[in-house]
Amino acid sequence: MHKRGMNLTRRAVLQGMSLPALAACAPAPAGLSRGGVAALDWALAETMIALGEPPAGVVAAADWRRFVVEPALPDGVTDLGLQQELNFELIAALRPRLILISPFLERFKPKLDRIAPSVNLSVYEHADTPLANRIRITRKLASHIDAEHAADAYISALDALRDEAEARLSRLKRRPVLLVSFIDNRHARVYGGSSLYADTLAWLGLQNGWRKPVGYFGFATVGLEDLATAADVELIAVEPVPPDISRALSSSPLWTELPFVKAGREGRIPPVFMFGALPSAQRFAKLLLAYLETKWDRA
Amino acid sequence: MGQSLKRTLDPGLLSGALSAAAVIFGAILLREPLQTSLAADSVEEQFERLILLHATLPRITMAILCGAGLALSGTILQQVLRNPLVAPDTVAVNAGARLALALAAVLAPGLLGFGRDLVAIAGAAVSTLLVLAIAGSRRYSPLSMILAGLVVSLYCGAASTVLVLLKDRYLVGLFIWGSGSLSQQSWEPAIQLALRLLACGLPLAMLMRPLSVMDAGEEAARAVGVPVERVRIFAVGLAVLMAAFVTSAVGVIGFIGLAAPALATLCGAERFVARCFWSTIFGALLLVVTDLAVQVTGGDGGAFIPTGAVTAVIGSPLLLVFLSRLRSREPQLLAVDASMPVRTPHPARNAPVWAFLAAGALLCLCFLPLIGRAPDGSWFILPANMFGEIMPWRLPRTLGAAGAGGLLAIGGYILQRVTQNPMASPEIIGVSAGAIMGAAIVLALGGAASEISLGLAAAAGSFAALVFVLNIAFRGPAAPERMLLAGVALTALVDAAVGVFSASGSPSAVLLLAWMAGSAGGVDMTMAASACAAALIFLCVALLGSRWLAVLPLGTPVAAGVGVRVPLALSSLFALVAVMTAIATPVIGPLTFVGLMAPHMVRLLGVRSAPAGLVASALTGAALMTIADSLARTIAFPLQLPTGVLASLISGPVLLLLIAKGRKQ
Repeated sequence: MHKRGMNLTRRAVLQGMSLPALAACAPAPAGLSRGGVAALDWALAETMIALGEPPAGVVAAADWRRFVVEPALPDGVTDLGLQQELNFELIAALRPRLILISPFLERFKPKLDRIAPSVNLSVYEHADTPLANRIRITRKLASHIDAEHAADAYISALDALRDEAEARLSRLKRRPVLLVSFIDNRHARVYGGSSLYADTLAWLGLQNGWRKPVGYFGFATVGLEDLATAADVELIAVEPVPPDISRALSSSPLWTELPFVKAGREGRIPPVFMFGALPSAQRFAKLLLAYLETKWDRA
Repeated sequence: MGQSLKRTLDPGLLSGALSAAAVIFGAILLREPLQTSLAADSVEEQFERLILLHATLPRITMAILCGAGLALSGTILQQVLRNPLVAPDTVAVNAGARLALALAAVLAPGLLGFGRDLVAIAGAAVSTLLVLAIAGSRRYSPLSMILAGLVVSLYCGAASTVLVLLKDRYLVGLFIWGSGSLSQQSWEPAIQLALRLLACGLPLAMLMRPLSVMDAGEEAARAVGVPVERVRIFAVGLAVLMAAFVTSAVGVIGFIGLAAPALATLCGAERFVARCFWSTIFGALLLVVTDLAVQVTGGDGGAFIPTGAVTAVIGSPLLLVFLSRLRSREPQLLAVDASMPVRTPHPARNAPVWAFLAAGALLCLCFLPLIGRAPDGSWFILPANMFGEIMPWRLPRTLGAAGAGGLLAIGGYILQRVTQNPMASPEIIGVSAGAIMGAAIVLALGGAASEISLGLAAAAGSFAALVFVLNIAFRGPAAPERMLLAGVALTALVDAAVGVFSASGSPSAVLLLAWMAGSAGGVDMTMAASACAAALIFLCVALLGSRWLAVLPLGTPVAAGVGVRVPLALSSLFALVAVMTAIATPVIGPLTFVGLMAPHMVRLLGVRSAPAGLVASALTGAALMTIADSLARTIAFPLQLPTGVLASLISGPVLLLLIAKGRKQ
């Protein structure tokens, strides 16, 4: 009698704790089967979504809509807390079969391994260009979630996108592109070489307007005066931008006298996750293409 | 204040040398653009001229204005508070402004578009008032002022950290601003700042005479009819306003406001007017030289080096220079303060206190870990049959927090008792700063593969800091004060270094912030058990030293008179505190304030004797951290907050209440 009572309580509690996402992945007894994947890094999570196998849980889900935007986070994906302050109880309750982490979470690996095998995948390996590296990571990730075919299809779709982009861009008069994020009313990050933005730009066959060195993560932090160039470039700022940037720029003679500013060759595109993987690159390429088609003259 | 600082420099020579340096760096920087832009015809050359006219020259002007403004602000503060250690940095002007900007960026971004400077000034005013309110209870004595400033700065820093961790993607700019970049794109900001500083000139001119009279001391000033209190309020307000104008224009430029007046004093400028004059000149020159040097050497490496952080790295060790020059003749610095009396025990009150404390600690430790949130967000009390499932995750962090809380509280009690300063706590003796530095180095090198390597680096940093601080503390008399000041200097230095790292925008910097925030999530059972065991062991060790704790507060002569070897006692106790801090820091992070708060609560509960105080502090500290950890786990569910920083956020207001209450008694 006593034992049965205990079991009932246990079941009630577990039912209370069961997750919609979990229920979707695992129709078996509530919350007890090992189902989904916990993706503790946005780049890996967005890759899973793109491959049609959305994760059961991601970190900082509340901010996704603002900074990753696309691919949209499906309903029912559990928010597992801040990336640097993981909610282990919640991850354990999710009963994942696999946990995906980035090198930045390496120190939590021993603890995570007690919940489920964790795999560390880095989108930052400098042996390769950022995109080549992300293609490799996408295939590797696909092999862990049995989605190799989806990965092949996704990567060939990217190739098709590039062919299409080349065709569309060839009709335009091209010029170098300066990719920036405005940080405050006096500073910006400008992207080069090893950043996802700049590599996608190169992948599209466009020239980067920034020739000076950048740091390890592919950007340089500069005063806005360092963006001043006599060259005929197109400046594109990735949102979000600080609220007072327009006022600061329009009151700076240095800025308003710049040839490319005078010619109106500056603008903004919606947010793209800068530490993202292939889906972010794809989103960036599409946004860039759409933007340039509205701005650039036909050749 | 000048007596103890012998005239060692010639002001003309010094300013000449600084000007020469400025000219040399300026020549290197400007030669090429000047040549090309003078002969400007082509588009490229006109363009060079544009940069020279609207970026390089305004930047130099800005450096002059900011340096002069901060130096003048520091000089006024030092004069009016009779304290060579106060500066816009050490009275938390910057920290308050930074927190206000962070809050505005997250809660009301529109406000920034409306006016960054208004937000910054409001923040600076609030934090400075807080520092003055805390230090006012001890008549603005140099040490209490600087400790209050540091505590308020750390508190603002903790709040900013929480915001960054929750909303980091909004706040990249905050790091750059916090490290002070002088980069300019037009004359407008420089003109605006010049106008604002000029507007401060008139009230300053009116205050000049009464402030000068205060050279001879407050009493003398009163005797000739100067309304000292009113002058003090206006002058402090004016100084804070000037510093806030500068800060809102370019961000935090560290320690110019401390260094420039110090140089003026070292040059033998005894009169206030002379100090104002020379320090303004030195401040402007120092900042121009630093900024030009940063521009000349910085170049195109892809690395962004903010000038304000460079001045802080160079300037904060100046506090140490002061240490070596402040002899025991400095009366204020050494006075045993009467506001923290060592009272006789109240046996009658003690029994209920003990019952209360023990019951409270037990309740926290046994009951709070049972409270949690289910995945759907609902609150529930953990049933016994789910222990096996949940406790492996919850128990280590709770126990770790409790153990670390106990350790820090014992440390705080010892420090407050020995230094007789209510603002003394393990956070500010530099050991935590050493731990941060160790962790930062490991993370910057990209080697934070495990919790253990991070913990070891932090411990190594702690011990390096301990050796450094003890070495300085025992080079002369007045060990407790020197040790606190050495800790403050070290903390400022590390803060500047962390600022440079954060401004780089590297994701590793977020890792460092997360570690500094005191994440308990990574704690495993071994770490937690070690922390608890260490708390028990070191409580016993500390109890062995309770005779020292009873006698030392009575002052060195009394202690020596009853046969205590004071230097031995002090160094043993400080080493003990440092070891405890070094053990607690990897578990709960470098910032909790529990070591500050627990001893205050214990005192208010009426526990007076040293052994009882140690035990009561340990219990209180453990209970407080358990509460903080339970809150961190649950209040923002599914997000978990860092336990250490949450503890310090709760501690701040409570501490203020305790201090206010303590003042009334």
